Amino acid sequence: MILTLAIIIGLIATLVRSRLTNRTLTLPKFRLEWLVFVSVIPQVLTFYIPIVGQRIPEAVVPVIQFITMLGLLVFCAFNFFQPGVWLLGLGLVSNFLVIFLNGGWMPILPETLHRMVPTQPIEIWEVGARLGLTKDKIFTYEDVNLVFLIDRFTLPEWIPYKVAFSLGDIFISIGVVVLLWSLSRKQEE
Amino acid sequence: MFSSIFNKLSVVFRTMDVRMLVFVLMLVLFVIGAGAPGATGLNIGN
Repeated sequence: MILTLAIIIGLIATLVRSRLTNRTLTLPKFRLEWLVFVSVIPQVLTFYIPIVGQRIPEAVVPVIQFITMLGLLVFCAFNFFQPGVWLLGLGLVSNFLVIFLNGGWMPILPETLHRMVPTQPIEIWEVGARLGLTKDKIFTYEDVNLVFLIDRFTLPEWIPYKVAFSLGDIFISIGVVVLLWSLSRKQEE
Repeated sequence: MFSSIFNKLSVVFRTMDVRMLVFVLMLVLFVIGAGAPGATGLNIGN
């Protein structure tokens, strides 16, 4: 949700800025754009299309994660000097590292889940289980590598939508806003 | 009814830069691939 929100905020902000300053939105010249499309398709199938995701064995999911994120890392490396891309890359590296060092899964703690759903006892969260068809698996604190990079942040309780996100997701969100904001900058900048 | 919808859609596509759409789509895909938010929309009797 924070990632989608970042895109919406960035788009609105840059559109308003371009309208107020009478500037035309200018797209950055990316290299290897196609790599993003090709890399992410397996993830879309695995995590966002349940009828496909359910048929993919859990043992294969970490491999899909690894390969697709590697493709995105190459894209970031080739476009490092475009506005905001270093932040996107930083977020991607953070998520990649923590996923890679935890067996191909993004760890989430039972404590985090309990914070999100306090009405349920913490025992319902079975350690080692995958959380639905997401990238997350439930780990104990002791078993996690790089605990500061896992999905440990949650939204305030008064927001009905529940989601846990990582430091990497925060970097990516800021990078998205910076990149979109740069579309309406002066040509000389 | 359908013709009016199609007319509106054709106006939208005439005025919208396709490259911009591709760029936003690329950004959405990047975010899907690089981001790892968990337990999205979790709701268990809450």
